[in-house]
Amino acid sequence: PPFNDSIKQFTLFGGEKHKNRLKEYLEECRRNDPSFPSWESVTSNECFVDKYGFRYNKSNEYALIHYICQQISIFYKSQPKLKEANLWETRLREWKKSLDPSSEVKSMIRSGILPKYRSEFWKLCIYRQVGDIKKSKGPNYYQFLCNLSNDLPRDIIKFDHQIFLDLFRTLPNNVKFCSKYSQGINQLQEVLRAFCLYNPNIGYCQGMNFIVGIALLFLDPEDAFWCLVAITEKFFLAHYFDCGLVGAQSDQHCLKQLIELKLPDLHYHLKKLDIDISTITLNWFMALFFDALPFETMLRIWDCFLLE
Amino acid sequence: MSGKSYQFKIVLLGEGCVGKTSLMLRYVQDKFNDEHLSTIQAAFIKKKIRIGSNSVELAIWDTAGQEKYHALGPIYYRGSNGAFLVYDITDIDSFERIRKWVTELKTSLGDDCILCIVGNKSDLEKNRNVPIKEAEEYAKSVGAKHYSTSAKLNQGVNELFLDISKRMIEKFESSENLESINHQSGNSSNKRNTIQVVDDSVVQQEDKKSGCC
Repeated sequence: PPFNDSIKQFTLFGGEKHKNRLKEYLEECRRNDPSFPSWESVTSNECFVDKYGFRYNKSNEYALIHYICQQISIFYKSQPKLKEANLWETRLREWKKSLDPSSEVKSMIRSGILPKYRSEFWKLCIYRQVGDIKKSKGPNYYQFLCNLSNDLPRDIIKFDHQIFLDLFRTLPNNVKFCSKYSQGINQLQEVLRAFCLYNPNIGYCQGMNFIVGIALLFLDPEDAFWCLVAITEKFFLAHYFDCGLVGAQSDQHCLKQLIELKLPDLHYHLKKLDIDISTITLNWFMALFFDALPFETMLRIWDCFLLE
Repeated sequence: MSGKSYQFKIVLLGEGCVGKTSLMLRYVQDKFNDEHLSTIQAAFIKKKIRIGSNSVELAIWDTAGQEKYHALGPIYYRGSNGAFLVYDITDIDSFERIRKWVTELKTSLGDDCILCIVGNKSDLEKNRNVPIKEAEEYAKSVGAKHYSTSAKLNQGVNELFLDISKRMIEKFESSENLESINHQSGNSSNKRNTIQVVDDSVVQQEDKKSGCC
């Protein structure tokens, strides 16, 4: 009934009044940065595609408004940082030379990176972890693995089947990953296969598809491959994604112990309700918060995670 | 006996991409979406239904399919009253995987859990690779019931959930009766004994199996 709808709208967005304010903010953003979408372009088409390639259906107005609010928020928050653009470039350049980030650049990143430096920053983080492995494998190693993919050894075939099944179940709402002709789908398959060949003991584990999918939104396939190597071998221990997910399981135990220690109220509450928290938290670890948080929030977590 | 309310937990298990999430979403939201994500985080949805004058609240748990996640199974299936062991009728490997789950569930949950073996994707009948007779016979041999479904065409899905709900009610009522009989005869440890007998038989089965492997 319309009455209920208007209440819902009122409680969520404050009705037309707040919507109109949003429009004003959006126009202001557009005056400063013409690449901002207009209210009409977001809401009047059947389908709106955001800057990462995610599709929003017109029928899902909540998601659209959330997206607009988030972009406006990012815009205003990054205004002071824009003045520091030169500083960002200097700091990242310094990092490139010294391999390790200075405490200054660390605190800058912690407080939020300027989006246009994200790709470069991720690359610095990744090769800081796996630069030595990459070097030891020699030049064109990734290309070498890709060429092997045409004739896969038998123990890889079972992984390859699962990879194939997951290709279209990774970022189906993103235009780069939605059809078998999409570039993202081919790259995703290429990277996951190459990883199986690189480390047949781990092979493919569901969850990697999300990690690589997100990496490919910011990196080219070779960097995304090394990103996966860094995550599976450096950020996590080697047995994290093994056949029994031993590492992932022990992390869940650690988390539970930490909760008991640091958040005893939560611990007893969960205990009383007989809830095993790993039923909620497993993918916070296995897929680094993918689908557990709004996309932009997840990116901030990735920034901090990769930095450590 | 009228107007009772029950709470049951059902878990969906099976190989990756057999349609566990689709079955759940078809039943709870009556939707079929080609665009959902591969499940790694088990999802959980509640649904209330009425059966006769009784109300039943189902807590449905969806799980990750890849073999690597098998070890995490107990987190999700513990305390389940019913389990759907789902395979894809076009994929014989997915059917083989069911056997593992059956053995494991029988060992950990005994006979407390109602097992349903579900051949999904019946819309792809022309590509069938799992002979229906073999599946039905296997189900019978392990004391489970066999169902054919298509989450895509919405065939057999409601029937599946309704049937398991009825069977879970029956099971619950008969174990309640058993308990009250035990209580009356003053033999409160009787039920425990029964469960131990079940465990023994399962262990024996396991021994046989490992013997032939």
